[in-house]
Amino acid sequence: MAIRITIDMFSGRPNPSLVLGEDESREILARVKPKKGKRAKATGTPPLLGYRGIDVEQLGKPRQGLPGSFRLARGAFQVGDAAHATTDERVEDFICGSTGPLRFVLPAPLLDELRLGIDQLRRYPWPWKPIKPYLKLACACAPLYEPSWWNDSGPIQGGNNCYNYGTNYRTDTFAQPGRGTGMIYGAITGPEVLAAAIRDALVDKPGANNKCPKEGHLVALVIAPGYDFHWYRKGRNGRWSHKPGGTQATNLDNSGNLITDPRTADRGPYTEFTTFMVVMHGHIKLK
Amino acid sequence: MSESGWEIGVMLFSGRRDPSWVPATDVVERIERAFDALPRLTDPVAEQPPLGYRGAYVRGPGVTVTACRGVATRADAGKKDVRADPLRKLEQLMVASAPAAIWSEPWAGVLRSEGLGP
Repeated sequence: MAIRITIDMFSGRPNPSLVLGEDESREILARVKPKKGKRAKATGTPPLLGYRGIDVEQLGKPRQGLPGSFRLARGAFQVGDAAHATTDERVEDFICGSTGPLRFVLPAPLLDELRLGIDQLRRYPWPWKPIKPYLKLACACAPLYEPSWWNDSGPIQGGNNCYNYGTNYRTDTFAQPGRGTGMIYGAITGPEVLAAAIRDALVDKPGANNKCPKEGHLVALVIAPGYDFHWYRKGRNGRWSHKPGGTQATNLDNSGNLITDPRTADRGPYTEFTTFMVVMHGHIKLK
Repeated sequence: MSESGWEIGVMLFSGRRDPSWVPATDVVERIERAFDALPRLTDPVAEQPPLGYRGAYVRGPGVTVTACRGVATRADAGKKDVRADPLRKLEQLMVASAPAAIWSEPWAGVLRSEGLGP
């Protein structure tokens, strides 16, 4: 009689597997056979990186009152939803130990890792209690506030304006609403710039009321009457930030305050609030 | 940027490119002389609000001189030289070199409200 053991431990590579000779097989099955009157809790396969258990397959007629194939983990053998403690509750340590059958198959550092994994699984049995995230992300789909990426004092900072930053779309061309679809705004007015942004596939959401969309992220269009437009974007933390022209991206308004709502922020000469819009990632086209 | 490599402009816009123009050679020389005549400033400089007028600049090969509300800065090969310009003479010199046509632009009022221009 012989058994095949497979150590469930790898993620990318096939798990190591070997067929044991008769003597070794007999010894292991003797250690695995059910401990009298000691049931165990079946835990299934934990979704862990590293050691997850040992699969044992009896090649030939099953012996020792054991099923033909089963899984060893945490000093118990499992078949489906049933589990039972093994006679030697340290049988996994034996298999992976310095005198066990793996000693000539796996390199020593891997065996060390394996023994560590066996011990960890024993001390922290699966399933673990789920940990509730202590911080709920305000806008899970929105871009991160990462000013250092934009503020390079070079081509990124100088070539990308509030529209690039607001839409989180780097073009290095100082993007203009409508230019990507061949028809730029005709005048610097809210309706004209809004229509041009819609042509770029931004979605007008005048009733967004500072609330994050389920998909994409929120931006806000404001106008300095007659001469310029400006965009803000709502970040993942629920706060707003912006990049005035070729200057640095910032999360502060003109009074040095964090921006919680662009409608009430100090916007300097950009006195007209036009609308909220949604940027659907991958949909827009800017130039 | 002009063939001579120099441009002057005002930092004003966010969505659009800032207005800029090509200066005459003697304007750049006058600006450089005016900058050299200003006293050095060692006190910390207050940050300008991000939106709206943020100053005037002259930019040439490897060098940029900015002037805004009493502070002039020359950045050259990573070095910064900060000078006090309480009367905003340098800023005025830069803005005054603009083509006459800019004074009929809708945003020219922003420069006038800063006390700049003709």
